[in-house]
Amino acid sequence: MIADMQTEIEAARGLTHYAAWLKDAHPTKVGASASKAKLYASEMVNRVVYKAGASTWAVGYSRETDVERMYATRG
Amino acid sequence: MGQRSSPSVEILLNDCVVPVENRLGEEGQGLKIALSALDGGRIGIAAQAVGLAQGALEETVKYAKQRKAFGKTSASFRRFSG
Repeated sequence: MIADMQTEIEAARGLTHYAAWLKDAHPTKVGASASKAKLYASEMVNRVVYKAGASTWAVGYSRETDVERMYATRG
Repeated sequence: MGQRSSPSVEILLNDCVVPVENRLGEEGQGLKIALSALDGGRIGIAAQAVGLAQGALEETVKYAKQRKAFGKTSASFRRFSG
């Protein structure tokens, strides 16, 4: 479970860093890479936060936890 | 998710005259410039998604190390760490 989360976060971080590097190095060619990073990272965060809630045996979904705040789009 | 610190707002410009010397970019390039700003925005969205996921992961690890079940921490169960 934690390995899945770490792997997906690292993949998204890599895509994001690459797009950010490309924006500095070749600003006119960043379009597709920025879209790929955004697509993967925003889908990934839903899976990871879902797992964070589930892996605390649903304690994570109760109001007082940070994970619940993350899941409830309250940032 | 995770966008509380990045609100989207409407901007209204009424009778707004901008002198030519204050124009950003070349005439006729406005759409291109606006769309390239969205490219940068996507990197920002990706970055905040990564940050939020990292925070959720750290909370999970903290919980797993502290929560006890059957006399062991939940971090020591194979389902959790594997």
